[in-house]
Amino acid sequence: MSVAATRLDPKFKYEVAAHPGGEQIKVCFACGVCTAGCPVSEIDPAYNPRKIIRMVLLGMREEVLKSDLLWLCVNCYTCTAHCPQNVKFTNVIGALRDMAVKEGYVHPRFRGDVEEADRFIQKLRRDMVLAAAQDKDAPTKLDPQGLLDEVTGK
Amino acid sequence: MKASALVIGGGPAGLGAALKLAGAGIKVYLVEKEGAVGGWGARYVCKATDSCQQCSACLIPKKIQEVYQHPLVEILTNTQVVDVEGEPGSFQVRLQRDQTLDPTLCNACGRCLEACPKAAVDLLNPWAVSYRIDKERCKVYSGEDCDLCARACPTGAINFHRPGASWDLSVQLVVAAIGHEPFDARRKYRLGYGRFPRVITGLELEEALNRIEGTDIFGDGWRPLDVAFIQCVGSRDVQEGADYCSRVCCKYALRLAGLLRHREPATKATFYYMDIQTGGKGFPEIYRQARDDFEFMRGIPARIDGGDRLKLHFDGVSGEGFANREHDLVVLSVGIAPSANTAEMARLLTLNRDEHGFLKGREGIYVAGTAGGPRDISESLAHGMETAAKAIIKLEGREG
Repeated sequence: MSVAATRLDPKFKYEVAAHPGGEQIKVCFACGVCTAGCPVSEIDPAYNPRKIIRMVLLGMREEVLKSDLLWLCVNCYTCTAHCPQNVKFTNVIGALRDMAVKEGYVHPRFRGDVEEADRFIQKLRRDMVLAAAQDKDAPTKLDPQGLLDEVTGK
Repeated sequence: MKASALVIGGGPAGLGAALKLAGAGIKVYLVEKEGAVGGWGARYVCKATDSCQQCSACLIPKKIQEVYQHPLVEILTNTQVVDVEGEPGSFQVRLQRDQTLDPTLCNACGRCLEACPKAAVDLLNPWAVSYRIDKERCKVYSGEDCDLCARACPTGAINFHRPGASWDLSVQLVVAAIGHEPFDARRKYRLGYGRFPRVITGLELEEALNRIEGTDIFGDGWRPLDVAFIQCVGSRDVQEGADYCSRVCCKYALRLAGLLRHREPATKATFYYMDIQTGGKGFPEIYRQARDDFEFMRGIPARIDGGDRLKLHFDGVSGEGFANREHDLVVLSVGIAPSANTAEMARLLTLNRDEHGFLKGREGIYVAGTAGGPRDISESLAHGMETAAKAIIKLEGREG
């Protein structure tokens, strides 16, 4: 990837740092332990937390916010646990996703899908709690394929 | 009245302070809780290859010799400070000495060593003049009955029934050179220290190379040929409360790799690092040479998997992404942490500690060497002497 200095946004890192979750981004000294422990990086090396942080610090606003890679994080918090500088990259990803949505880098359809999935998960959680409360002896019914079909709309 | 001073700790800083004070005609009581003076530095190996690498390890035996020869320095090993009272210019100090092993009777013949089933009697460092009993390993200190070493001793130096001594001193000033503790690498569970025998600390490699001539570091005939050094273990780590550079780890790691290669030219080394701190005279040249000789990976591994070969998980250079690689031996470049008894000493001496836990001096009580923060051997020695010089100026100002 080439970096065009004229297209860099020097204020980007301050915006991220001002966003809830992004406060610590500027203290990163690029040791790379976040990527080294990341289960997503292990499967898809294109997803690289260290690189994303560097891109933010360099001011590559557009490249970061429009990237699909932002959405690969599984929120396992391994990077946050390992980070010697307490950057809390999981929270940084949250902040970046938020900014990407707010600034219109994300297709409205994708946003709708995420909101729908979120509502679905909340409903599922509520239903399971209700079911457990009403009939304590009944085994919890889980149907992974059915869930997947419902989420993906098949 | 002839002035006198208490120096707590017999490491490089304590030795430097004691010599400087004694040189100014001040009577010095050099208190060392272990069985021999020299501190951590006395266990390190000379890292000279074909040429001197300026690691300063050789300064320690010279200074040990000097303090033993100085008529104004009284060396008190196996001794601890238990109470300090008074004010600047006049302190009353209570000392306590474990006299199980009398260093004046011990002639280091080694019979106790042969008799001990736990290998608990040894020389603390190569420059020790008498043996010492390792209380962690000795059965008697864990409540069991054993006197094999005492019976083997031809001079009666060891006697478990000999009572300890306790006495008071009056001194004008105190130098706290209580030193540091290497970072406990077990706290980094994911790096496998304590779980995999071939994950060792830089300190352990120092001691092994000091003991032997070649690179048979475990004494079982096996020689490491592909060594990984992981830098900044316990340094620059907010989560460990060590938000500082330990200043010594890059230097010793690069020199140790050079020494391994000097002893066994087929040895390969890879450094996993965030950035190499090349402070100090002569070190940039060592680093440039190391860049040619060894491989440098900019990334700290997140995890090590065990086995015959150790598998390191890290982020490839310059963001190429997740990678893993196998090595024979992993050396963790552990940093400098405050000494375990820092809190106790701070209480005894009524000293404040900084945000990392290191001691801060006050009037009449001076802090020297790594007790006050990370320093290498020569820096500690120099700091001990500098601190003593300040104390002398203050004392003379008070008297004159």
